[in-house]
Amino acid sequence: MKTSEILTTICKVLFPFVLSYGLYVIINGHISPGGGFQGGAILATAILINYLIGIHIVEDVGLLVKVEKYTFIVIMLLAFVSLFTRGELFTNFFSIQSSILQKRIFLILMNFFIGIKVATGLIAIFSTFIEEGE
Amino acid sequence: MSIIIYLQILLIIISLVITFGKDNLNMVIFFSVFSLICASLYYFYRAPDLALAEAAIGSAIVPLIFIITISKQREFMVICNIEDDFINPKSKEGEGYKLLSDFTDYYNLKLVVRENKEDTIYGVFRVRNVDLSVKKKKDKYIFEGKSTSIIMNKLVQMTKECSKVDILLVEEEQMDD
Repeated sequence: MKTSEILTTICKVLFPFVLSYGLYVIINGHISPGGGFQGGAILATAILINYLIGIHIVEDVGLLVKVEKYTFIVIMLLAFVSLFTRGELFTNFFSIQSSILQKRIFLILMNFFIGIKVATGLIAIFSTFIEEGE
Repeated sequence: MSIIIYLQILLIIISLVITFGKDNLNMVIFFSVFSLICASLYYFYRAPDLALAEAAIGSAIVPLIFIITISKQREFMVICNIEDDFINPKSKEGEGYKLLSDFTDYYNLKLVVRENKEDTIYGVFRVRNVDLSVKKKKDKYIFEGKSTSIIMNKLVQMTKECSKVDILLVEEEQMDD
């Protein structure tokens, strides 16, 4: 399909703004609507929209899949930390009496890694789908 | 509150347009509009978290899948197993290449010729959607195509005059290897 010049220019102009908006949604996930999944999907959209205008950003899909798997291990380890600090699985690793400034560290870390996992997973799926047979 | 009723009526109209529409590309654009209206409805029902997810997934990623799929449907994939000048994918010359490009121009398809080498096929999935494979046997070129494909009949008609070409129609499962 032929892509028009308007679409190419708009995609190039919007690309950094969409990226920063996705990061904003991830980082502010604990106090505002959004979070890891939504922000990761927005990040993936920002990169995948470049396929429409013919720019191939992703060179190595295997590396992306590797990053996704390691991020999953990091998420599991982060959830296991509360077993050693509080004696419970899959909860916040700060105790329930600690202040809200301390407790939100867990949410920020969790949102950040979930965002990376969702973004890399979606980009890997779509890159294999687009480049199939090329 | 009246804006919610207007949005709901618009949602019903757009879903009817999607259901009874004929053009695929228009359908994709209306689907994206549908998701956008859905997202604003979620926002008015006080679920902004869900609205963000719907706006990201429904109006950006799913239309992207459909657009890529539609643009892939317009390709005619040929796997070339011969190494002489009958089909030359690089210089786009040769008798067979001209025949195939005439055929694909008739149906407004894009001709993709690929040589059969191991390192040219990458990605998680292997190439399964091959429309035609070309082989050589005793000075005759054999075009192998699916017997279920309707447009193969036109190719049989077009290659009647050409004495070098034989067309072999096989079942769908045998094309894999």
